[in-house]
Amino acid sequence: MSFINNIQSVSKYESKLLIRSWFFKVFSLLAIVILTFFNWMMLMSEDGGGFWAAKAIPSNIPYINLLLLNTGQAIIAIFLASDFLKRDKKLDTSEVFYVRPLSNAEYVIGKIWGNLRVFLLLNLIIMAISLLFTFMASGITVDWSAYLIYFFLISIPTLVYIIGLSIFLMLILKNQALTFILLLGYIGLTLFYISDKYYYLFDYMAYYLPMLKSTIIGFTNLEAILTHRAIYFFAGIAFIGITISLFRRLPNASRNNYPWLIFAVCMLTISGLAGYRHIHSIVEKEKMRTMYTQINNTYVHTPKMVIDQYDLSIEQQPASLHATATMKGIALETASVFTFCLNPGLDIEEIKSGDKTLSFERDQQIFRVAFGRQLIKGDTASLSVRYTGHINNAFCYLDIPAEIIQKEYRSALFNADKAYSFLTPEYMLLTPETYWYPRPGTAYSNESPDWQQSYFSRFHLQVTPLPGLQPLSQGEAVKNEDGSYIFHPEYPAQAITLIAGKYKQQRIEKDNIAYSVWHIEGNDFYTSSFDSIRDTIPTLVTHLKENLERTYKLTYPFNRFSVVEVPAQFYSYPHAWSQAQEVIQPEMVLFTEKAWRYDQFDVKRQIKNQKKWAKWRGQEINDEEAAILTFNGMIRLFERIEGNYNYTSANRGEYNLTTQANPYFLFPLLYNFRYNIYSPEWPISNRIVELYLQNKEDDNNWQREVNGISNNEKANLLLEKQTFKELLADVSQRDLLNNIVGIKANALFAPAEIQLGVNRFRDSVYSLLERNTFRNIQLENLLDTLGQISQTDIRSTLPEWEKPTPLPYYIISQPEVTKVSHRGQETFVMKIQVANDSDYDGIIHLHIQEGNRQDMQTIDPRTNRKIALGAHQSKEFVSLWENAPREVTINTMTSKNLPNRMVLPIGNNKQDRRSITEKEGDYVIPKLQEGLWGEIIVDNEDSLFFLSETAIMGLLPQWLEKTEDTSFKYAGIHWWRPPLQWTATTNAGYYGKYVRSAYVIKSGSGKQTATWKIPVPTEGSYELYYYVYKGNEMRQNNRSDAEYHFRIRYNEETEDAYLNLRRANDGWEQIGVYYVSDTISVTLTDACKLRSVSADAVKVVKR
Amino acid sequence: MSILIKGLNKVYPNGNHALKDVDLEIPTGMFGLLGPNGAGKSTLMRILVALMEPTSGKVDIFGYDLHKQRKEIRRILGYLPQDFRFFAKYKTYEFLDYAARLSGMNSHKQRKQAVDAMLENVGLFDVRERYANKLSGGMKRRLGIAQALIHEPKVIIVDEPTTGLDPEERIRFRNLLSEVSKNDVTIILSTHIVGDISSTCKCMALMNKGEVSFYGSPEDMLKRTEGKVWRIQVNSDELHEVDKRYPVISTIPSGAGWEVQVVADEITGYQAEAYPPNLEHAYVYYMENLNARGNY
Repeated sequence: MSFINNIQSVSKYESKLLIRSWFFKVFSLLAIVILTFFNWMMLMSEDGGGFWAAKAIPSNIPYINLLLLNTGQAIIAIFLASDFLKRDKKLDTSEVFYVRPLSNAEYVIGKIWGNLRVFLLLNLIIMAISLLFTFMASGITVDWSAYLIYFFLISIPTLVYIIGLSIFLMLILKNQALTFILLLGYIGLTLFYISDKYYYLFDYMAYYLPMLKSTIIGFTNLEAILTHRAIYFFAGIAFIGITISLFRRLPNASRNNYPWLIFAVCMLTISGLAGYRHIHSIVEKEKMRTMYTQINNTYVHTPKMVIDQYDLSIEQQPASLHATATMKGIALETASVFTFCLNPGLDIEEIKSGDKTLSFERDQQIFRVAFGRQLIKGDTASLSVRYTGHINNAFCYLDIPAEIIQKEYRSALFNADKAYSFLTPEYMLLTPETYWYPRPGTAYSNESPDWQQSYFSRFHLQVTPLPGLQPLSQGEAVKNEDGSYIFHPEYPAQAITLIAGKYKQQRIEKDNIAYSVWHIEGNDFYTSSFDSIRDTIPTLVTHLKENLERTYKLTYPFNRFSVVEVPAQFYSYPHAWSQAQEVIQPEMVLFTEKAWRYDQFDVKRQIKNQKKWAKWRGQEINDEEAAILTFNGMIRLFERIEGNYNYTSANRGEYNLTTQANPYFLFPLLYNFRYNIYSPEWPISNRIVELYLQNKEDDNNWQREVNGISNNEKANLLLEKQTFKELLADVSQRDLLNNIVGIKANALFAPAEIQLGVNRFRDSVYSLLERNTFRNIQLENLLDTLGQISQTDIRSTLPEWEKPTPLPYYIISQPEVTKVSHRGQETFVMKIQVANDSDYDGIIHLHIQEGNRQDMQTIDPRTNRKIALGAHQSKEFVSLWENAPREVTINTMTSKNLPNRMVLPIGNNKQDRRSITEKEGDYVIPKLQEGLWGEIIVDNEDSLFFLSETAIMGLLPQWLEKTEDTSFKYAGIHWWRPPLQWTATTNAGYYGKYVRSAYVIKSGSGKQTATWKIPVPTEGSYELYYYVYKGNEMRQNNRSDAEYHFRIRYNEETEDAYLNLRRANDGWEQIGVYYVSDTISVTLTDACKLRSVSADAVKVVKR
Repeated sequence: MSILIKGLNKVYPNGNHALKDVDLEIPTGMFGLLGPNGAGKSTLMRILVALMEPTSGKVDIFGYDLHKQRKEIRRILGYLPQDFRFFAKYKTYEFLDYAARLSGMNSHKQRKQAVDAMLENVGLFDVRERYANKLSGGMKRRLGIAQALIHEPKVIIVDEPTTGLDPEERIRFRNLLSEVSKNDVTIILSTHIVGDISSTCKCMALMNKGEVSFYGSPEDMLKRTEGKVWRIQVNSDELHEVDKRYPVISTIPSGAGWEVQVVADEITGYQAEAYPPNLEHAYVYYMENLNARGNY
């Protein structure tokens, strides 16, 4: 009893000291004020945007509150907790407590508990505040258990660990300042640098640890979370034990320290074991995945069948499933033993063919069935497989590299676990990726794409779910009297999905298609808000469907379309071979729980926002219109190709904007579940056609502006160095996969497009696909057929994919338009010259925008052409137009040009009164002259351009500035935070023969310089020009005194020269005239009143 | 005997031999430990209150071995350290309450009564709500003795308690200790102020350079100094001579010259008059003799 009493006594008075300390008072007050404001913004404010993730999943409210508080208190705790040791040393009155009969353990534990309980009290206050706001906010339920769980999972282990560690360090180092600095560094390191690396092992604050709790399924990784938190909890306890044993006060008995040392060692061992278990479970999973792939490799070439008909009978058990799969298949080759694949977590009990039991061999996921007789290729055979068990998730996504599997899945501060299937008493979700029913052949093999040949089969599914659960699958659900459901999709499918949960349906019907939303009971956050537009919704949905069909010239092939709510942790990866992710299944979208990651689904707030935004635009809209705008905003998600943007900063001033594919883009529903293109050699054959049809050729301009280089340009530069095959396997370039494949797809069909015309050729592709609906098409056959239609040998270019791609480069002239008036008739003659200056043949894509009629592009084939340009060939393109062409866009496609795509606006037209002498056509012309006679241009890409040495930076600034290394020479530049070193960037506004680039640096004292040396052929007077591009800063910053400072050296003289940028125009601006005998050297310094200085090109012109 | 110290040695890591074979028997009642600064008194005190481990030797306090039974000893111990000035942010009564709790007074009611009574006793009741840091030096000392006494210990160790106090506070403090010493407790009073001992202690030890130079009662010490204190009348020139030859205790102006008190076995060359010694004279006489013997 005295043990507890003494601890209580010490802790009581320690708590008093903590509460009385200004440091803690200020921190607590700040924490309370900030988090109160945060909760108000999140839950109550009319104006606050975002935070849907917290409102959609109520457990996220305590999660984010404690996560934020935890970060602060972890820092404060290190200071306050270690303070008692300093205090004991500093205050001479402390000794009178040391001479009391309490033990060292009681004293140290009392001190720590005193600290801890005050922090815990603060946690409780914060939780009470968030609870209060949750009650006050309408429509948000309270997840009571989450408050308790996160308190124990986030706050307690963190505090115990950091307090234990700081006291221990303080005891060892005997210096509070040093302890504080060390621990602050440690916190910074774990928070900003190590973050989620090494499987979150160092994430003691649980900042990156996936801890999202779904309303449907709860935690999916509770064991992993507990193990992870145990690492830090027990480590903290161990540090406390060590502190007790090393505490500088004579123990009550001479050997009293040893038990605590032993205790600490035990705790440290438990912590270590938990760490080992944490790492081991992940590493082991990875080993398993490698093993599964190897097993697939072993069997990938063994005989397989194609299953024509599936009869699946599934009985859901609380944590398992009992199933019988009856399959009717056709042998793809002559053999007696055939290979099938089934999730390794499912145990096969029996395989029969009719009444006859068949023998089989199981090797993890693979089972090979001996039919007992030779099946000749094309023979039909039936078999029935009875199996039971659970799903092993480690078997999913074998093609996805470990680095990507380990990547976090987060939205704002919320980290979710990635789960690929669910099988619990409340919920079941089994997608084809899990192989929840036997499928012929093997799963992913990294040695041969042979595994991939999926076929269209007929499915008949009978499901007996657990009571109270509504099963969902492809086809209309028919309920039997025995409680089972039958699904019988009316179309052949490559695979089917099985879902069961407490689903409620919202259904509308329009044009013979049943549109449904299946949400989990209690998760209806939207219907009441859309009551007013209930009648309009079918039209809006149909509009979406028609829009997609029109854009991609493909029709929606199913009678139903369902959006099915699935737990927040459900995650899917894009496969290299297809754009279709597991969240898209035939006739359904598996949509994340209450759309928690998408703020546009915060329906109530969005409706209010729509009205507000309309007001800002000077419009007044009613509730209905606001609801329609909101609804459209929601469903637009399904049209977007790109997902959310990630904005990262590399070196200071260099920015990188990346985006991943939008998993909910509905294109796969129009394409992937209907057509299937395969190749025994090229696993990405399906994707080639997908991306070609999506016209994936251009990058958004603004995205390019941010990055300084577009993804297509990056892909081109990569393709020049590596083969297509190598790049497909390169994990580090995964984000560029679509661009790499898109470039190859466009290049593959470009010769045929030239031959047949872009639009006609595309039509041929569509009709060919249409003829093969629900059938497999081999890529090679498709190319042969398209080759015949277009009279080109498309297929012969495939072997080129095994080599790096040589990149041609082009010189592009400014387009010229002459308005010719003759006898009252006006014709616009447009001429543009393009020269292929390289040793390689190439193709360019020419878009001409005539007048303002955008729709002409689809009608007039001249507006959209692909043109071949041989090596060192120059061509002039002459075309005649009724309306003035406004803009020419030249996409140099597979080329070295930067920017790869040039938008050339057409300014003033020349006027001419004469008859038309020009004839439309592409004319080969002599080599395109670049510049006029007597002009010498030195660009920043030339060898006569030099940059000053970079200023030496200290280690710390370097470390702070440098977060990411980019492998590309060119980077995006932001004028408001320009780079500290000369950094190359590209922009169509800069000068460049092929690469329109410049070097940019933050303005400085004039120490940093860029120098162009121009040797002149003959002595004489030369006009010196600088190429001006008034970028974003000049557009936004109206400084009239912004000027560049040059130092001109010629004939052993040096002169200063200034160029006023406000008065200058884009393009060549004269700096001055100089009499040069040999070489003129132009040095641009970084001294400028603008934020940055750009070094681009200079030219001299002989007078 | 309540405390037995045998062969106690303390050598600090820097080589300073602070205690050298100290043997002491400390009886119940008030025990004075006298010695100059650096004599090893505080080291001995800190060892006795189990704040420091001796290098060798044995200490037995009320039958408990200090090495093995610290908990039992700490239970019967009250301690007021030499420096007692800087407090954590506790109120006066909280400080005392905390000390009481740690001494095993678990009953809230009993503790409250004891704290209030003790505050009354030491004259701090009126400032009980004041933060201890804000108390005057004397009040802090009183709070110090209050915390040492709050749990009614059998052994009270006070280290230099009157240093820095004004005479009034010093007398008050002495009286307080005298009062406590009546309750069958052992009080070890370590001091370098002779007056503290002379007025309160029945038994004492004189420490010098880590050794016990005298052990006995103050009267014994006085007896040994009888006839060794002299009064001499000198002029200004002679004063310097006397100061060089004998330890001067006091110099008082008298008529045309000075009346000088010195300690010495005998006086030669001056008209000296024997003077009755007090403890201060005895202390000086002892220290002089020890120094003369080269007891460094």
